[in-house]
Amino acid sequence: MDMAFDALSDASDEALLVLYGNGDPAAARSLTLRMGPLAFRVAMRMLGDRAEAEDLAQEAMLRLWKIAPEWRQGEAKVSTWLYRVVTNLATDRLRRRRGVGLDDAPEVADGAASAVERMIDADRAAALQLALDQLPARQRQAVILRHLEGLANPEIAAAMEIGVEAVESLTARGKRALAALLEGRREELGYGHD
Amino acid sequence: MVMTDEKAKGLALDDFFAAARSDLPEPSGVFLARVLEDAEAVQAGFAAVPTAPPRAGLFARFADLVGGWPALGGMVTATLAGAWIGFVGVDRIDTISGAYFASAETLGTVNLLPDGDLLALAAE
Repeated sequence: MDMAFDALSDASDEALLVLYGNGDPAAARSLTLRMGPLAFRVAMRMLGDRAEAEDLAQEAMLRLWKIAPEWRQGEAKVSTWLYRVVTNLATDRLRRRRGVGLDDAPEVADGAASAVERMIDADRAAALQLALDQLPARQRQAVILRHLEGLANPEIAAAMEIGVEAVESLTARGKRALAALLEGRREELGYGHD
Repeated sequence: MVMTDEKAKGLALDDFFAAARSDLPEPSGVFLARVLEDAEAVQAGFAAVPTAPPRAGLFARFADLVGGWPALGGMVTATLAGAWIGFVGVDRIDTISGAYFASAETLGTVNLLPDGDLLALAAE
């Protein structure tokens, strides 16, 4: 089993998916370990809730398994396809959550203010997540893919099925909104005015 | 002044992004196990899908067309018999059939619908 996994570790995502579709059990394991964390990570960034993110990521991965035999090679990257499915599923869920307005958004943990001087990355990451949770879904999607997943704009455009200019616009608006949301917390987050 | 503020905000935002990238949400083992379980279940379904049987060869398809191997056997026998009759000639067949049916008539003289009967049929 280990040998099979090692042998597949250099295989491309697409090659693994084809192998999976052909019934290779090692490919199922490799793809799970490679794509499962990606799906979960993006779902978590989009939804901000672990249980819901795992549920959504499992649903996205199930769609990947089912489409494997029909996968048309060379048309799209597997990761781009998965980004699209995860973010679309997350967007649908966010739209169903519409009742949650800005005033209902959770506050940063109470202990954060008392630990201003020792703010660490985890706290900033948590603060960013709380700010992301307040962005409109499409802006959130674009910002996550660009700045947290590190995708280039054309790939984001493919994942979101929009043009590159629209991606740039969504990212810019998202960042402005994030900056505004975090601005009020600058001192609290270790960014006092110098 | 505005530009300076914007720049400061941008720099701060990059720090937040960097912090978030270094603090990746990790999936639980239970989640990965569930995903793998789905993968294996779906993959088992691929194997269960009936696949087209291997295409039979031309000869086997011909055998099926004429009614299978028994029919093919009959055809071969008839063909060989015809070839043998052609080879040995009708006279020898007469001799053999005469021996079988103990009849004075040979195949060459058998008349299944004599002329008189044909006229009688035409008259009706």
